[in-house]
Amino acid sequence: MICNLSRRRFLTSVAGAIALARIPALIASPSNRDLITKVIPASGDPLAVIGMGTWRTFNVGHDPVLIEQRTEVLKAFFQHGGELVDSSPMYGSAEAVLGKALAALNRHEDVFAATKIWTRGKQDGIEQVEELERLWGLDRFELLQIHNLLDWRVHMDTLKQMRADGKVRYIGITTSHGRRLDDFEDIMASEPLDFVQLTYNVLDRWAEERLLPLARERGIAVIANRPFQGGQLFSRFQSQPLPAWAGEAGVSNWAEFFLKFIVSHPAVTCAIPATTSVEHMNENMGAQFGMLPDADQREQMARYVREL
Amino acid sequence: MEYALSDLIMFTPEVYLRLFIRFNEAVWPVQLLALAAGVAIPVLLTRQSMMARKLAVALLSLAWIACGFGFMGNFYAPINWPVAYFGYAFAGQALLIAAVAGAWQPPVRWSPVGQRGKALIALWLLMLLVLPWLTVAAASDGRALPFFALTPDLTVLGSILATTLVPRAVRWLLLLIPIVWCGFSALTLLALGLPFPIIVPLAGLLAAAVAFFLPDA
Repeated sequence: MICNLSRRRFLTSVAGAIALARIPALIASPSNRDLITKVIPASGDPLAVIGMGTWRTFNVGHDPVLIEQRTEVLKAFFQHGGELVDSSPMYGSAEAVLGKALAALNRHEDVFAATKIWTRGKQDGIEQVEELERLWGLDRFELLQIHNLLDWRVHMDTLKQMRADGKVRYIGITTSHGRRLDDFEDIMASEPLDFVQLTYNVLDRWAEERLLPLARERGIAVIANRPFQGGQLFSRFQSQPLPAWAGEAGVSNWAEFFLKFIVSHPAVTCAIPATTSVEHMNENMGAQFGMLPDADQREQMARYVREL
Repeated sequence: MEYALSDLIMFTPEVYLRLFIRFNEAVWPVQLLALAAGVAIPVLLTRQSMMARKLAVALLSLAWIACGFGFMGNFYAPINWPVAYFGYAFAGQALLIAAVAGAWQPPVRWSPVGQRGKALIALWLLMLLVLPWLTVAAASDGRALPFFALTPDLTVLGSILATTLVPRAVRWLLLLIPIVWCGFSALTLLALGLPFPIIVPLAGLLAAAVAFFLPDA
């Protein structure tokens, strides 16, 4: 991001009906349905509900063939109105590959760039952010998160200062697999967070008990990771038919089923599926168009999957 | 929710298998030298001349350095950060091999006539010429052929076989890093769901166990 009024922010700030007009591909899409966005409580800005994770998928090293292929995946993501891309220095070469893909697509101003600090110590944390900005080719990130609460007390002070200085827009913390939930909840309750990232999907619903209600209460945006349980949901259910009532819930394939279940939770702002395939990206992005299931339909979805 | 082994792996099987393709494209025709070294090492070890056997040890040391700084440092480490540390460990193992088997306790002559010598030849040929095709089978691409002296699993397995020629009293020194690598590699390949290539590090672990207890020739 070069200045506060970037192209992405300008466009997202006039979302709603204009959201369709800002991405020509949407106008050209066969369905021509409405882009689903949620509001980031800290700013009131809208955010497209389907983001992109990079765990495993963008760690391709220096492989030029795979870098080009992943660039196509990212291109499809943007063509469908995707905004938030999430990564971490833990994911090997993923951030360097993202940087190359963003440069090839010339999309630095369109991405809602989210990454994590994954190191110990104040100075190492600051240097890691600088290195990640260089890898992504950005002047600053939209969102910096503390990966799995690693050395979180030290990094929290750093992030709050960076936000105050305008060096990052939002700050947050992450967990996955339900690790350190008590600590996570305590930090949510006590620190001025803009975002949290946690595992939430149609089978892993422990966040509904305390964390999601707390996020709503505290005005914290929620990013749901592992929306497909690392791909296991497809392995288990893809061979099964969708329920007959899927269309009524706005669902036309399993990817939409899993993703719309997640983002229809009132506390969830965005889900971040990861994929290596343009075809799968197209399916995933279908989940941010059309209608979302209501509360009764969500329970029906969860019950259907449990009973399969 | 508990972590599964696969949750700890940050890359896909496709990316791993393409490492071999990219590496082979990048270093060609060094593979021919590696193949020559794979033949020369057992031949030199069968010689009466101590100098010839020390030359074999030197070639083995070079193989570890080539693996550590070539395939591992430049290709594998960028997608799997622990491999960067293993790259340095491989360089350390090269020095260890040179110090222990090259100077302190040189290998005995590899007798190709006895049962033990014949078994060792069979295992060496298996390592050099047969096991590499397991990676090719996994990749469904002949360009993914790994080579002894260039890629780690085969180099480690070959080295464990050669270790049986050094006195048992010091053999364990040369087995530590190979055992750790084989365990790491086997777990990685298990997490990636690659049943064919995993056979090589598992064979390495089995060979290391045998080598640890095998009496001196």
